[in-house]
Amino acid sequence: MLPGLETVNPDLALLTPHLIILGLALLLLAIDVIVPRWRGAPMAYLTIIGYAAALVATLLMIDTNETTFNGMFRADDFSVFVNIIVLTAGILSVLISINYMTSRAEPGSMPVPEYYTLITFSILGTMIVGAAGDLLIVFLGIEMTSLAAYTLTGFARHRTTSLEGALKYFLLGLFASAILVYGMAWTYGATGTTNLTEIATELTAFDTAGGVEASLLLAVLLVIIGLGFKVAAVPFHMWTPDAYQGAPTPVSAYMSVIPKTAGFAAMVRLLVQAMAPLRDEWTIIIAVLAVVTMFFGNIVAIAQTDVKRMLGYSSIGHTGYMLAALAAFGASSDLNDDLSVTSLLFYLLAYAFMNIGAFAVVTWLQDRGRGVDVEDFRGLASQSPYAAVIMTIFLLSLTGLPPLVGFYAKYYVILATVDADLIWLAVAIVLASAASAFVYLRLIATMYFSQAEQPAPEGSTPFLGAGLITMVAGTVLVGVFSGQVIDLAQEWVEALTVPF
Amino acid sequence: MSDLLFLIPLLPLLAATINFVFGRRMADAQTAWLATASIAGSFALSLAAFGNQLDSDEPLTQHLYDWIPAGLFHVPLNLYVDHLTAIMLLVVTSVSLVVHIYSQGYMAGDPGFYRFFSFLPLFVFSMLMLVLADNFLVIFFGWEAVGLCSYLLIGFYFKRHSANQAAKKAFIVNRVGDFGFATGIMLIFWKFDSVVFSEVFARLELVSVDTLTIIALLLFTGAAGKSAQLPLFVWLPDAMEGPTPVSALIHAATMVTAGIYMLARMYPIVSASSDAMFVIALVGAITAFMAGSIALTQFDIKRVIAYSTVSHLGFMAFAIGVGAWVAAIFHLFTHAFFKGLLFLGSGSVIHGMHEEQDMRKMGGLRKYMPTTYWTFAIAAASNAGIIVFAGFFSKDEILVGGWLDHQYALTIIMFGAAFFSSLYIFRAVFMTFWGEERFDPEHVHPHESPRIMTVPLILLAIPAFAAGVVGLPPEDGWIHDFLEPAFHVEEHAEETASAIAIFQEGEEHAEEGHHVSTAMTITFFALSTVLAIGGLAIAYLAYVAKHPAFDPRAWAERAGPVYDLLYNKYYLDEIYERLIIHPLYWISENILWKIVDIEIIDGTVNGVAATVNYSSNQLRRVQTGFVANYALAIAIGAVIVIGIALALQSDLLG
Repeated sequence: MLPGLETVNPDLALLTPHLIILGLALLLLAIDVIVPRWRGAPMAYLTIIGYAAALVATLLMIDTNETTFNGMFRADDFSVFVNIIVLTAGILSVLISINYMTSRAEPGSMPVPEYYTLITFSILGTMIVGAAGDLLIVFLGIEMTSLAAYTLTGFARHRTTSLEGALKYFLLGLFASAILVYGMAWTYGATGTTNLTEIATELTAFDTAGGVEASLLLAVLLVIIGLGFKVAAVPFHMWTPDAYQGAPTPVSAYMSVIPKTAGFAAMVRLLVQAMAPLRDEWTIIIAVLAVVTMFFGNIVAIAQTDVKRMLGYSSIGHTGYMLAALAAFGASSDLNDDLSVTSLLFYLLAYAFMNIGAFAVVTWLQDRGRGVDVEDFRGLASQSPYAAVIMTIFLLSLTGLPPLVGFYAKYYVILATVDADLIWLAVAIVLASAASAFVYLRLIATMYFSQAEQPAPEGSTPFLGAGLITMVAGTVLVGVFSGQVIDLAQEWVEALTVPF
Repeated sequence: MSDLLFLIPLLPLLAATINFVFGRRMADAQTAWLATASIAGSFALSLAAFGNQLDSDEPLTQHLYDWIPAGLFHVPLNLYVDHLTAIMLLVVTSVSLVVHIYSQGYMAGDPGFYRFFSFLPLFVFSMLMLVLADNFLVIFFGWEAVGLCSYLLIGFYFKRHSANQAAKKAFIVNRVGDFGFATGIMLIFWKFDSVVFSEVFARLELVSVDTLTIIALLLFTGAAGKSAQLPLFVWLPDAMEGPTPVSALIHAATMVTAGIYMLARMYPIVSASSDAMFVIALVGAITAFMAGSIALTQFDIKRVIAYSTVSHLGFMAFAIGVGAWVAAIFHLFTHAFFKGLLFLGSGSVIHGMHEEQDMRKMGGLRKYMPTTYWTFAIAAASNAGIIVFAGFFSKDEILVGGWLDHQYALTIIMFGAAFFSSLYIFRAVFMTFWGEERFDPEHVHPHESPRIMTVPLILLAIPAFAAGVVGLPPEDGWIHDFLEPAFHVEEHAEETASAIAIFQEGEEHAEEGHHVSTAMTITFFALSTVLAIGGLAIAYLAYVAKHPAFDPRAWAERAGPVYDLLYNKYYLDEIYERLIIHPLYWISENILWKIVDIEIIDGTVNGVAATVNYSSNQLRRVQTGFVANYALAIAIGAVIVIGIALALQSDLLG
């Protein structure tokens, strides 16, 4: 088929999950206008059903490995896995949002219809990054995710901290996007193409010709910096604590997973797929960023008194571990038996369950009129033992204790770094995890060993409850069944033809 | 059939989960029948698996999923059924089923009823996983899980101090064994790069015999803990604090035989080291003799049977040690039935006597509880090794195996243990069911147990009497034909000369085993019978006929120090107390706590925490809150990253 014809007659079947989400977003917009009385819970049901349908469509696409739109769109096991992470995280985010929208947690009301529409668009953006086969599509997806995320951060429009966080996130985000585009432009300039596989082929030619040109190096570095902002890597993380603290709590939960997934998906598409021939150049940068990020995030988290801010810093720390997985790809000697990208994907999935879970318990308290300070968790174990146990499970999983999913996630990353002979990086992960234990155990200690000072939290939040049960199940079971999950993630690595 | 294997462990697990979560709200009968039905399902499937193995030499396997798939350390979760597993499945599920039915009567009205019926199927699940494992990690999981259930059930009456003490003792003593087992597994992974049985066995020639000896001894340490061998057997008699059906299922028929099963499963490793084999035989023989002699002097009916269990586990270990593999499993098979029945029978007695366990306060019970008496007597005859009863044939093969292995001294010790077996068990029978009534008729009204308890007794009495037929004719019976392939796999798999040399010894035994002369068979039969009948006769003269020459009190006085030694169980508990517990207390208080803990660990931890806290507080100041500062940080970061990278590229830095 001629290239031009393929653009006119794309194989739309490959886009089924994306089209379902797009249709859902448009449908939500239409409902807002046409059937205003469905604005509350019915919209949420519809959103969840839509995500679930897209998830099913995604699962049916396992083992396809095709491209369409002239190679701009890729349906491979990597895009499938990104879809699984994002849609799972999406369902969980919506589940914990429903009760929050109408609770007393935020002053004034939040505009409900736009909320679900924006989350849906943002998810679509991340799915597009996962399926991108072209620099332009990566950028399109990243921006789609980010713009929705900026707006969502400022959704508690009657609270100034929310607006402040949104503005900071927006301004700095533009700055980072500009850097990213600059890097992409250099890439195009040096290789003459925007297609990811073709870039890889071009770069192989460069590489064999000897020495790497400064222009190429600049392209890689700018891409890393631009995406480093999106995943909140130190020193490009400054927006994170303010945005996490300011955003409505379910949005913070969502933000900690989905835009981060978009950033890492873009890193894999750009650094692993397109720029693998340059990996000798970028490995050390990513590895150093990883170490700085994991220590900075976890250590600063210790001094925080606001739980959302604390989770924000801890999320920076987790970015460090994920970067370490990426660095393991760069240093790996045997790419066919390489766990690095696999462990990164598994980490993101694990993180979706345990981190949204931790934010969900904060939401649970807020729905019952409590604040988000560490002090608000005092004596929770005696007042609401189930909530305390659930929070403990998430926190222990974030620390990385077996047999919870967080342990398996770290275990696979460490295994990947050891296989790649980056022993010092593996040691750094272990030390940073030990430091992070201070953060999480402090909160557990507050819940169990302090006297309660506030009246027992009361209220009914059925959707949030359902979400919490799902996440506890995920945190406990995904680790035990990590075999299948890892196998699925590994398929892509085997399907990927690294062109050198 | 392969596709259904997963149901065998899953059904009990489901029942355990449902009973544990919802049991409080369910009626007692519901929880009990749910548990029993799940075990019945497992039993039916086990029968099917056994039937499949009857006419097939191809093991059944089912791949469930990859537990840990990463790289070298690859652990699949597979279920594996060969002839050996098939026999174990039958033993475990059939005895479990009977015990579940019996427990409905025994535990009736207990406030922890639902708890009991969630722990018991959980135990069955764990035991089945142990038996079905095809690699070391899964068998270790099952191993620890049966241990956990055992501690939970020993301490079932958690309000009783002695029950808690006994549970703790079982836990601690088993740690010693498990440490050995775990070390053995690590050594295996280190040496063979695999934890899957078949892969490890295929690579045996890679390592020296000395290494195999160390591995085999470490594995035996684990077996000694679980299967109560010297010096680790002290926990088993105390474990009788648990409810009696638990003693029957866990501490007689199944869990305690896990060590024997494990050693049999490790046949290629164990048989490769003649030194390890000798140690196992020696320990087994001494355990059998010591425990048997202790049982002679005890008065608590459950303790007599508990020491008897230890003694018979010693028989099995001895059989493993002399290379009589089939005999070991054969005895495990018959022992499960007759020893389980002895415990259930003693439970019925205790139940009928209003929780009385001291045999000095019983006597003459046979007219009050005839079913219990007759079934108990059958099991006792089997235990004593009276000819035609099941235990006779399996025990006899062990003795013959010992003789053929040229362990003459040890075999003679085993004959002594066999004599004790008969003497102590008939002593228990006569003290309990015969003679004058020594209980207080004012307060105690002995009665037969309800049908739900006596029917299981009858069900178990059948195999306790007749299970020996699988071993007929002696040394060449059906069980030999069935099990011998399991112990000769490597013969076909290994072709290298060294491997053949390693296994030659093990094969010799088997070869000779097929050619036992008729004369020898008859001699051993006659000798065993004389000893067993002798034990029975002495017990009768001493406790029923009251013949003055056999007065037990007079003998106890005459034996003096020996009697004290036996009555106090060779003072093993006291020796451990002096040699291990006291020094440990001293070390932990004066060195570990006062120096290591307070000075070193607390000091380090506090120091680290203070440093981290300080740096955390310093670093948070970077976050000023001004967007301009943030953007500047990004820009500076970018400059640093690019600058360093370019500098490295252009060789500026060397």
